[in-house]
Amino acid sequence: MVSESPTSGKKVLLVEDDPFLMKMYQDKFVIEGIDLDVAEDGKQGLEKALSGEYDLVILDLMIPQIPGLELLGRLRQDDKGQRLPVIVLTNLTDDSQKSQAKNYGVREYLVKAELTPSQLAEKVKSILTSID
Amino acid sequence: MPSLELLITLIAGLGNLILGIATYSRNTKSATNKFFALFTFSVATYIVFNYLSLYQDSFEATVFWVKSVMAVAAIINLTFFLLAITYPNEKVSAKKPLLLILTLLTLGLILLTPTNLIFSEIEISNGHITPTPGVAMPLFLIHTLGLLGGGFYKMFKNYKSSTGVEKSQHKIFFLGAALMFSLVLFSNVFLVLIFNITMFVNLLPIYILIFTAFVSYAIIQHELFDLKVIAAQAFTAIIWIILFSKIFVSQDPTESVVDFFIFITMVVFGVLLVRSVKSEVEQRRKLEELTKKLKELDEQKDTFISMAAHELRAPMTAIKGFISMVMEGDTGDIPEKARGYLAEASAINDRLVRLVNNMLNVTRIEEGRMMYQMEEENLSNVARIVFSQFRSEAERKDLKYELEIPKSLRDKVLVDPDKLHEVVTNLLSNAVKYTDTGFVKLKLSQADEKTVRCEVVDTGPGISKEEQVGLFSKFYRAESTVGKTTGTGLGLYICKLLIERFDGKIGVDSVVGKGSTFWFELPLVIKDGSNSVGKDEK
Repeated sequence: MVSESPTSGKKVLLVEDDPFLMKMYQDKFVIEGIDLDVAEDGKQGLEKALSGEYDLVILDLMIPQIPGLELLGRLRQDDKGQRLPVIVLTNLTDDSQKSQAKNYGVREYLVKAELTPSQLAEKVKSILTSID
Repeated sequence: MPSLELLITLIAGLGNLILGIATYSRNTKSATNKFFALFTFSVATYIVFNYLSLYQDSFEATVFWVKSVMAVAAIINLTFFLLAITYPNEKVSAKKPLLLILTLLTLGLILLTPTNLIFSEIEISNGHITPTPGVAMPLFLIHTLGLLGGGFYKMFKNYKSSTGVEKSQHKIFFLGAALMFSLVLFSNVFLVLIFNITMFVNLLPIYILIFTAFVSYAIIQHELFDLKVIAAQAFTAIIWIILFSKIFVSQDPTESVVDFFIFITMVVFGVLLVRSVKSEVEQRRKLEELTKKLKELDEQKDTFISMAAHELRAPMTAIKGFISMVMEGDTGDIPEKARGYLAEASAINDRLVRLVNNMLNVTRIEEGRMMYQMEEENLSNVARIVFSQFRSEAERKDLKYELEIPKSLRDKVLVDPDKLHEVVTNLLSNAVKYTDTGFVKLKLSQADEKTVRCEVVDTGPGISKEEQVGLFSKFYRAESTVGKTTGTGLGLYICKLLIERFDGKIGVDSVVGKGSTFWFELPLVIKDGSNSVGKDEK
């Protein structure tokens, strides 16, 4: 069943430093049949995102080494990261952060605390099926 | 007129002393304030000595005071120079060797004054004192010109290179100096030489007082409150001096006694006046300090709230997520009872999430930090989206669930669509939550030509008249009619703040036992052409 899903062959990168949340999303994405890789900090996240291996990045904003918004800016300056779809998944709800992220052309700005893992998985699936 | 001269001497002498003490006491650590105090003391001494030199009976005494005046003049030169090179800084910028040389030079000059080297001869005839310059007089002139000229030159250089408050401080210093010199030139040179009028010559100490007053003001001008105290003190002191000298000037003993009692009375009132001004100033200063502290606390609170919000949300995210996964069967089947408990836990967690959101929003809106993306939006668009969000919940409760939008409705409003979405969501979710039987209706209508109205009508428990009053205020809950609510007490308050931000009105009509109608009205964006919805919806 999993191999026939519209998300097969697509790879998602989650940049998240909270171990509980990372495990939660990993578990859920396995069940949902989404191929998920993780990065624990901004530096690792940027390197992986620029590797060209991923079809979508889910990005937390409060992360060590390189803050999320800076990572986003550097991603957009690079040819490899310019058009990479990004979902911001954060608990920061300041309008200024939201508008900065939107200026970088992110697909969605989601507030973690208002979303269940399956709702996130739904959003991810719909974005993955829309890109081909 | 010895009495007039005495009066001038007293006013100028004491005025200088008071300014010196007042300025020094403002900031006892500042070198500028110290040098200014020394300068004013030497000026005051100079004025008194000068007066004394004019009214001595014996020749020896006159000579002594004339020579003493010269000694004090040397000190004035030095203190002026020190003030000029330091002003308005708190630290002495000049190099120590220079200061030492200048001090030694001045001391040397002072030691010369009792000898015949400065004044070789002093002649007194008809009350006029005519000194003859001695061999060391050029030295004295060089000292005076060097220190006064050098001081002014340094001041001018500092003024040129300074900015902001310092620049205006320098400006006031120069203004005072300019005023003093023009008065001296006018009354003591111009009037004397051209018109032979000498009556203003004796006012010289007053001209000096004007200068010291300007400088004193410049030094402490950034502490304007103090000026009030100083003004009160100076004013009182002048009145005292006038009254005090009047006691001795008056010829009649009875008049003297009366003057004495007037003087005593004024001393008492003067002390009271200065005290009351002082306490007022003190209170204002305290108030300023408190305001500053409050601002700091406010900033700390903001940082704390956003940090706390972020930190609280992380565990709530995990709780919400894991519970939802268990409930969705990710861990296998769970008993119905466990599912019920988990649903409760999840609802409570959601309430915490909402509480944090609402607290953040209230803080942002109240402090004007909320950013609004104002756009023209059709209210019906927002209404439709929100309406569909609560359909399943309403159906689960077996409620009749209706959306009513008239065909000809004009509903283009200038709002932040996300925030308007929040308002409608809040009202509709309340209606669905508190209504157990009957219906919930979301209804749009034309309130008048320029206004669109949105109503959320329910057949819930209703809210009493008394509770309706406080319904839209912070942390208010209509507990008596709807029971212990699960709300945060902030939702309707936020709705009110937002609707008012969009120049609208919000309110409620309700009858206990029958139901409630929560409504808001927004002004329409009026443009040429119609912006009506099109077809009726039911």
